[in-house]
Amino acid sequence: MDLIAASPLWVLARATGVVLLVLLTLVLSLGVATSAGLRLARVPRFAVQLLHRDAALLALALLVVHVGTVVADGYVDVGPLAALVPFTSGYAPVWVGLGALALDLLLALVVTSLLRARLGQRAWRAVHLLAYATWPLAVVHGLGAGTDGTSPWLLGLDAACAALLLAALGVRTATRAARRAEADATAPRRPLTPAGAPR
Amino acid sequence: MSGRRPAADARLTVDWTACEGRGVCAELLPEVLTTDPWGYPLPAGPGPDGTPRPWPRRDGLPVAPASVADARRAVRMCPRLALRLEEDARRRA
Amino acid sequence: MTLLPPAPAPTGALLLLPTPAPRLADHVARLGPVPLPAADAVLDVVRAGGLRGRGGAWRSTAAKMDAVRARAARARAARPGRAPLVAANAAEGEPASGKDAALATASPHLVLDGLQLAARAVGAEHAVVHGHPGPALDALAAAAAERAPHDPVPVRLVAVPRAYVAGQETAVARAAEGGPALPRPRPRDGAPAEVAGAPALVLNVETLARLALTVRGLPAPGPLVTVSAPDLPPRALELRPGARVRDALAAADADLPGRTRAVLVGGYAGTWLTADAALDRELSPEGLAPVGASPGAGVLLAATTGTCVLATTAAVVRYLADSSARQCGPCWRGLPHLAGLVEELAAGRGGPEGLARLREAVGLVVGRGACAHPDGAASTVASALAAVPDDVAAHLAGRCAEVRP
Ligand code: HEM
Ligand code: SF4
Ligand code: SF4
Repeated sequence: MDLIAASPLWVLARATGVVLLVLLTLVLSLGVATSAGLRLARVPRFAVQLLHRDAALLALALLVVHVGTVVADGYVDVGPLAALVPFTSGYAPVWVGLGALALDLLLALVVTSLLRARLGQRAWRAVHLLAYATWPLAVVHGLGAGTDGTSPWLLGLDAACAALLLAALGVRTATRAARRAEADATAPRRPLTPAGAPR
Repeated sequence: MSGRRPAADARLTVDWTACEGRGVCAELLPEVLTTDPWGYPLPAGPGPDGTPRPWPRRDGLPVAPASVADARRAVRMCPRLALRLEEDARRRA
Repeated sequence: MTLLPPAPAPTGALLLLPTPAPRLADHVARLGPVPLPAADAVLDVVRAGGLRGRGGAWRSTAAKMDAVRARAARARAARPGRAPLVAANAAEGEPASGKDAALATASPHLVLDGLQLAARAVGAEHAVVHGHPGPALDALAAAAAERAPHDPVPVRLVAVPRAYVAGQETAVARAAEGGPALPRPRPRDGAPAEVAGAPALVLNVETLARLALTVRGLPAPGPLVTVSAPDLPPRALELRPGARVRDALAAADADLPGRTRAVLVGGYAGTWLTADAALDRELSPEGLAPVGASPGAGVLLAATTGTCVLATTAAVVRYLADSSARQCGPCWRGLPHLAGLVEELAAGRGGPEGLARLREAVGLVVGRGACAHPDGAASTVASALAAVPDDVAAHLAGRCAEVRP
């Protein structure tokens, strides 16, 4: 289909979808950088963490626009409820359902993170690890539900996003391995055999 | 959060089993904390004859009223929630 | 560990280390059956007798019992049927200590009397004996089996692998639950350890034996100590009341005081004192406080002429570093770092710059761990540097004044 024929709302929905893909990738990559305790060039660690949070909040706001435009446009049959409850959409129930699932998860991630101090580290972290499910859900949703989800340039963007995320995970693994090696260097040098006055 | 009245006597404690030495706290609270060679928080400023200032285990590290707002922020932002700020209203006797 | 047989005390009969170890009938014939008064009466006697913990911390036993009783009352209100636990702690992680093993082997019934009394004081319905496999735990097990028909509170044995931190109060509680004998953070500083939501009264075996004597109205025995030197394996001794450090060393080996240069008082996590500062001090918290030391668990480690205090310190700190439970960063990273720097100094390498880094490394571990393990190592190093400045100076010049190759 061509852009001219589409309504402005539909264009906005697609544009926000594409931006969301990039933004969500950034949110995850910054989260991974935070959990690795990484500094990005001169950016201090706390700022990386703040960027992570702010990108997440922005993503949530943009997601509201994304979903709002799809529902309001009426071009396809996706009601307000179908945007929140997975697999209840009239149009492409599976693909839209995956998007709804990603939305629910994102909402849960942001709400629990804002209440982290009250929830406690353990409970918060259990929820936070769902971030790794959110990203593939959103990507697959984009491939299936989008108007030109499988166009070469969008596939290319998907691949670039996946590469960025994998790179972040790779750097974190390397950082942790280096720290572990340093830790092993301080491990007990000899078996613990108490023997009274050391000689 | 930052609208709360500053406490006259606030003290910072660390759960050392949770802290991973990421150093976020020292970045946010440079007037109170620095980091040791491994990244774990250490009282800022020189101690007796150039050695590090010892960490007050029993009472925690005193935080001046002017730094309390920053300290609250550090507590909120510690990636491991390893910091605690005891402000005088909540302090044990 | 190889323990020499207990040496006879200079004066009077041995109350804590009798030989041979009495069986139940002899024990009762000698001291009479253990009186089991009401809980409040036990507490009154404990308070009046000023009993303090002999595991090393010297905390008031009455205060500990009060805290457990208060916590137990709250636990019962929340969930009825939750009775506190009492534990006899025979886990002697300190490598230079052997007095608890000697005591448990020589007087198992006295310890178990104390355990029943402690259970009475806090209303406990079950008790455990916590220790490392070996003759001492065997003696306690045999004694417990012998007296099981008479004991109001059943006693269970918990054997844990030998480790420096296995005798920590929270580690005892954790092991009683079936977990590993490792420390865990307490709910609050100074709060009683807890077992499955109920408080636990954990008392060192010597504290329990003293409790059993106090309740019987017998005079308090003198200090129970373990003395060792480079050429003398740890030896457990019962001394007369008011004994000084000199008496303890002399009881282990008559000419030991004369050839001692310095003493590590209180154990691996203790305080080095020169012989001049230490020998005429009474072996009590009050006697040693003026020179900045505490008897701890009654450990005296003598550095004799011809041994290097710094080399001994290096071995001690390396042992402590290897014993870290590796839960807290500054402890498991800081202690090996500290040990390495002491080893450098002891080997005559490092020079003034190494010494400066060593002083810095001491400051890096103080107060920075969930338990006081790093502080103990810091105390041993700092006190060594203060006690033997001439040795330090000689090592900076690259040689040890005491040990010549
Ligand atoms: C207000 C919103 C958020 C806040 C304040 C926040 C905060 C944090 C913090 C403090 C960490 C570091 C955890 C650690 O060091 O163990 C983290 C990690 C992470 N975050 Fe977030 N986050 C938010 C939202 C999100 C969202 C919406 C996503 C993804 C959809 C996300 C994905 C991640 C990921 C992937 C990690 C790395 C997790 C790991 O493997 O340890 N975050 N986040
Ligand atoms: S921010 Fe938290 S985890 Fe990081 S060093 Fe400070 S206390 Fe430790
Ligand atoms: S301070 Fe050291 S020994 Fe103590 S709990 Fe922490 S890691 Fe374990």
